[in-house]
Amino acid sequence: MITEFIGHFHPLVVHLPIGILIFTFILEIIQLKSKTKFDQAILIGTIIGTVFAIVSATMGWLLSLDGGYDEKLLNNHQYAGWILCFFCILLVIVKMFFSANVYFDKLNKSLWSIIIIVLFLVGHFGGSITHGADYLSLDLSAGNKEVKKALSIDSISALPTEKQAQVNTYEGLIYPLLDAKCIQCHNSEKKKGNLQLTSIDLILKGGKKGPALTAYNANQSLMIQRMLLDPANDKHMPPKGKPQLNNKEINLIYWWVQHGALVNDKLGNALLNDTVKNLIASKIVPAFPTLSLPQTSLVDSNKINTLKQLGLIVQPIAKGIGYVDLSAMNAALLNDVQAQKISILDSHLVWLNLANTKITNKGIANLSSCKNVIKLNVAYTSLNDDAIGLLNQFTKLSYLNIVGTSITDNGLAKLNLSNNFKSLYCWNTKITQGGVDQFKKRYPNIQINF
Amino acid sequence: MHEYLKLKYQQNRRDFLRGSALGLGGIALGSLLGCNSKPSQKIISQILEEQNVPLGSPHFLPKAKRVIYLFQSGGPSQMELFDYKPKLYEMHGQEIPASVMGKNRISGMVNNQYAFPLAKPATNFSQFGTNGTYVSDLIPHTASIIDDLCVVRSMVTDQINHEPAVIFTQTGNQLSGRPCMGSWLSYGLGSMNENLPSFIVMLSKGGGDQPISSAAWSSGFLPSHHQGVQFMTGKDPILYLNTPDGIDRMDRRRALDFIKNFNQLQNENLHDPEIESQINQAEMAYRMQLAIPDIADLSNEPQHILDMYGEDVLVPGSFAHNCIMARRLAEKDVRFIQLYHLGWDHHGALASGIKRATKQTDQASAALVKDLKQRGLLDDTLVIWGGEFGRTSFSQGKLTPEGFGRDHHPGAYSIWMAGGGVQPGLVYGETDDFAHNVVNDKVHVHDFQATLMHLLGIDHEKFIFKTQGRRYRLTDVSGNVIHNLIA
Repeated sequence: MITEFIGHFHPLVVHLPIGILIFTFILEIIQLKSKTKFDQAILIGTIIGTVFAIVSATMGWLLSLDGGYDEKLLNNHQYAGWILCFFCILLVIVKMFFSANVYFDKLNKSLWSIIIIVLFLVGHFGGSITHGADYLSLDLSAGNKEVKKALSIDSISALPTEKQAQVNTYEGLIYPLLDAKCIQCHNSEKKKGNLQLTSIDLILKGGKKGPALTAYNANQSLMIQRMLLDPANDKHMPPKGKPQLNNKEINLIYWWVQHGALVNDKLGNALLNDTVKNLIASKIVPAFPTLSLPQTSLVDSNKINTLKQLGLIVQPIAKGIGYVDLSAMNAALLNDVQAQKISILDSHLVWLNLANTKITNKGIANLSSCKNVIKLNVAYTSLNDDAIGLLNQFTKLSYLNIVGTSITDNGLAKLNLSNNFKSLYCWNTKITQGGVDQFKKRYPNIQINF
Repeated sequence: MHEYLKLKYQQNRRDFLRGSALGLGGIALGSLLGCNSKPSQKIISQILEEQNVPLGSPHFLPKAKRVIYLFQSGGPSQMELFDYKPKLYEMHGQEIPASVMGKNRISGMVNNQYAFPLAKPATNFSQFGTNGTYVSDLIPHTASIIDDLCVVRSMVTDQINHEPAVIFTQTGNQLSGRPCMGSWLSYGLGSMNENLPSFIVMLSKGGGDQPISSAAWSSGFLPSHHQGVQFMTGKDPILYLNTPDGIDRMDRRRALDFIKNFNQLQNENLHDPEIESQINQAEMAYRMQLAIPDIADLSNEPQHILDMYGEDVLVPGSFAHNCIMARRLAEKDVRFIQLYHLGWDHHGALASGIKRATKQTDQASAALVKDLKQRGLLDDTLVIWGGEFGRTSFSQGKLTPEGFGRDHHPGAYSIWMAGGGVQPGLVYGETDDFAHNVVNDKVHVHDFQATLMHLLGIDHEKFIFKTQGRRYRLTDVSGNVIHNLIA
């Protein structure tokens, strides 16, 4: 346990000998060219560099006991590291005990050459282990790779249906997910837990704890189990601090495993399945609720001010949207003449609350230009059955509140509602159970609260 | 003097430094490139303008316009109310399995207990509604409206003691000092009725021992007129609101205008937001003088409505009375109505304690939902019923039929919501066989807060207030909207 922990400091400590040795080497060169004497400093630099080289090589060895690295790269790195330590020690011995020797200069120069070459090799191997062998090579195929990555649930749901069907499920959806969130640590060079997720064969081969997935059985699949663990759990994947899979991504991988983890299946087949269809469609890429009305310009602020002077509260229903919500909450004395002013909002008015005002049937008649009213509340006004014909002109209605009015069964029978209509509130009116039953026969899907 | 200058220029130190760094840098760059430094000045003013502007309108189309939060302070037991676990009856008296107990935090009150015997619920359950949802026999009225409710059985919080847990639920942080939900919404969305405060708090009497602190309805660093206005439990809901005998209302108006002039004069010099709050509050009080007596007068409520809420409805300060008041305030478009009922902290004698608490709250909670529904208000009013945490499935202290109790448990608890765009009839989330750990669809307090904001049309990640050099949100750096709860 503690040895592994110490090993984890290897990537940190390893930079000390590199820096110190290179700096000492630079001093050697300056001394050679300019005849300035740095002997003392060079000796100290060599000794400290050597000590840190040994310390970090030891830590590296402890870290390698963790396992999960590409063996060939690891061996190269390790051998080069020990060789470096050996030559460093040799250099220290030469500098301390043989500085008066006639061969000292030649020995010194050749040892330094070996050390610098080996140092670069060690560094390169080490870098390849942590960053991948192709980290420093210019990737000319980067363009292609981007296309592969650009496919995601969001981008696929944006595609037209016939194009969606052409997408290969594994290549288009699953692999890019694994590539983004898993393969960083489970690849041919850095196989944590001895697991590689780069191809289906390697996934099935699995790692230390066995196969990563069992086709057709997501619950028994190790990789799914690990993804579903509580994020605080040590065994949860991806580990704490790494980019996590979100719910819809996990659901997608879950579905893929549950349906056989096929690699040649086209999304066309998958789309026949409701789970994936929902995933691709709206439910999983939650759209914000919107009005099913076209874009419109913002309401002129002069119009809003005119209405505010009547005590009416007028607000856009959301930021940057031209449709407004009007409430007469603070204008209990609003009469038909004043209410006529509301019609200046014409098609911009979608929510209208005239409850508890002095408005009558005539006032409603004046609002015929407000065609887009979706929610209308005329509770506790003096509206009666004659108003129903006027209410019918609001063809976009989905909510109507006539609570506390004197509307009767006759009025209810005359009410014509569109397919978009959802809920009608007619409690505390003269409407009877019989009238409601009649209404339910006409509109079985509308929620009526009586 | 420094403070004065700072306020005068409405600029805090950090922005000044940043502004001057940009400014000087811009000047240096400008002289290098041979052009003037105007563009960088524009950047400075933008930085200042972007700060702390209330939303005004929601980010997107809201499903709810108002919230009524029936807070059940003390921690109602999920095992006795909404989370039916037959296993607890079977394993009554046995030690809770170690795998279930896990490494969960337990409070200091049971830390020294040598045994943790499971306790069977002090009630029975029956199925209700079209989905056959199991609901406790203690809450028949709530059970009768189960098809209108969205029950969340998988709530999780971070806190194990009352005060921090209440503050955490209300403000998103365990320490007091941040604004609560009601204040955020009052500040962000503003008022829908200029004669009433947009955030009103009512506490019910007769509940129990655990007190609740007013920090739970504090506006924190937001302007102080957004704090919750607490209605008193006596005859006058708001103290000292009435004009004294012999004083004419017009005299009051003149006096207010005179004081307001002084305040405005001072504000021109100091730009202190608290002066603006003071002006706002005085004006609000004046308008409330007419609105409040009307709200508080229940004499025009028909008898059958009063009967719905239960026999206590006419007792000021009872939960039932506060519920009918909440409906009346919702009718008047008050944005956030916060009720607190105390008395759910059943460490001992749970069986009798929970019987009392449910009797005080069940009928009125259900009546409120029904009453809002018949008036057409439930569509855009979100009603929430829930406490600050749950309770343990094992007994606190000795397991006796009458005496046993349950300790605080943050790892799983149940709440319900209704109206305001949540999915009616839904039961969301799942706990293990002991109602001890959440096994499916966890809803953290921050997720709940994010979802609440979403229902009101607010993107919780974009609703930000900057103070003391740092940006704050209700959900701070956490929270995911639970879209599956939304209809």
